[in-house]
Amino acid sequence: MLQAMKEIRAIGSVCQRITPASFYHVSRPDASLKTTYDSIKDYGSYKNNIFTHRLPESTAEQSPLLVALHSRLSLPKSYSLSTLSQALNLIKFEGLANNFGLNTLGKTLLSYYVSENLLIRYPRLPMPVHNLAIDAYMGVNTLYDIGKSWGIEVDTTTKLEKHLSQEPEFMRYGKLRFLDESAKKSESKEPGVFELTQEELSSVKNDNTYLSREAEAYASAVRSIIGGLYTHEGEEATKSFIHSHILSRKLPLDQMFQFSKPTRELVRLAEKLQFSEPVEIRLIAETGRLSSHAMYVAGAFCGTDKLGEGIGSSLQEAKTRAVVNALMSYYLYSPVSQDGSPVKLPSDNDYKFEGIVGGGDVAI
Amino acid sequence: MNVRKIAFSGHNVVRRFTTSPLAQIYLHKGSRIPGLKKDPEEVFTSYKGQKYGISEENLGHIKKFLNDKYKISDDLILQILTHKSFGNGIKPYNEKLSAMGSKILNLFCAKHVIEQPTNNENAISGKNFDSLGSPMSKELSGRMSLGLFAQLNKLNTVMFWKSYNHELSFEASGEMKVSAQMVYALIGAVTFVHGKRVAEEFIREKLFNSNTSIEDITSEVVQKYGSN
Repeated sequence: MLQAMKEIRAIGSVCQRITPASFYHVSRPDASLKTTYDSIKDYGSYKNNIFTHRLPESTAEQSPLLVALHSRLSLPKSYSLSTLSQALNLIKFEGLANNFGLNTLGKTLLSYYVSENLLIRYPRLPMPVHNLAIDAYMGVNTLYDIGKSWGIEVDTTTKLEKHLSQEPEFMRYGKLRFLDESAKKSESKEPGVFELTQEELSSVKNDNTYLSREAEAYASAVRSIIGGLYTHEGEEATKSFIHSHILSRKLPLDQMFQFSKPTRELVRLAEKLQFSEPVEIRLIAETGRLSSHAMYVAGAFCGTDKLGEGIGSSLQEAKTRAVVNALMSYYLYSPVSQDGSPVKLPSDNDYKFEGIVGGGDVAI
Repeated sequence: MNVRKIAFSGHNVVRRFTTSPLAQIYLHKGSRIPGLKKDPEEVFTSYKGQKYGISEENLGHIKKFLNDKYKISDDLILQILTHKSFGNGIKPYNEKLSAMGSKILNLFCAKHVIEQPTNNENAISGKNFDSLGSPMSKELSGRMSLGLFAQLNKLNTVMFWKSYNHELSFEASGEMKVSAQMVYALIGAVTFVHGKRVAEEFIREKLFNSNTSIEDITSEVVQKYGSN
């Protein structure tokens, strides 16, 4: 008890030594949710006091779009249609519970399983390529495509249009809901013309690209569906879903590299790896310098070990190709287990560490 | 096959790495001068004067914290303690380990907060999603909590890193960030070596059920700096 008291006092003293939020910004609550709780550490007591309720399962069952999506994704029976409908709702203040929590959970699950896969299967990827690969697997644009391929539709019609076309209200529960009534009215119907909202305009980057609200909404729905699967079926089923829908996509890692100074990078890498011999580029073969189309074969060597080989129509080209080949062979290394299969992942049963841990990139 | 050396313009790889017993190399100490090679003795010493390498002084405190249950190799412990800012990133550093550690900690914390017993009528399968997104749940795996955790448990007494100014405060010098990254790396290393299930046990036992619980630290931080 005395020890615990001392520790708590120590926490207090540590906090006092920190300048409040001068560099690090501590998260602040979203006041619009009016969250209340009994105690800050009693997570079960957290409650958002805005008027929301979950869609009754009996109502959700009458939405053909929801039933079709559930069946198309081969979701288990335990995955309720009301959760699926909640995963498609991004609107905060319309009475129905939105997908904020499911999205957050889905994102952490995706982040872990995608990172685990890359860190174990490609331990030597340079960090910029690693991050790019993560983005290629679970970035907004990728999840947008996945969401579209799942056949999720956007609820674009206004209440008046729904009324005039006598559309049953159950239809909208199976659609992606993120547009408010005013946004639906102002939507441009011209193909190829997009009217950006203020929010989208502010997200336009220097290269003139931006993330549309629609893309973000689709991505959020995909993440939420994954979060929902965890909620109903647990982690093993979620992992399997992520592997079949996200990690099964082919990623051309070898096309993600761009070297500005490859020779310098290889030399630096050799230094980091403490190679005993110097890195040398040697000419292995050539067709003859006076031949009409001279070709050269160069190799990057460390002592008698060949690190890479390249063919080029000039000495410089052959050298660069040899060096790049050596770098790519190193960075794209993927360990295999003793029986020749890919190494197991930390989340697999009977996991045994057989791979390597990446030591980090070199500064050039 | 006839192999011979070729000279490329501007290519000094061979010269740079040829080590002759007769070659005299000047190793410079003190402030950096472009073109002069720095003395490794000085480069590979932390600002506190700890020499880089596997030794009981450097690794003992981490070994004690991990105990036999979560044992990992000495090389990996040294990598955990090394930040990419140290020695220009030439030694194996902890970036990949901390990438793994931060992801598993985020996942653990998200599961931990939603799985507490609840009466919330919007809960799904007994999981309360209203707690996700609250400052407490966000900061549980945040850099400030982890940095303070490292400091309270004296895990950051030996770290190989370089700040632009070591004289500044715990937060301003970057020590908090580097300490947090070191704790992420520690969790990541346990995940790499022992797998996810053991790593989650490690987080529960060492971070949540210890005297200096990460929850106590985070609630203190959130109440002090996170209110509107």
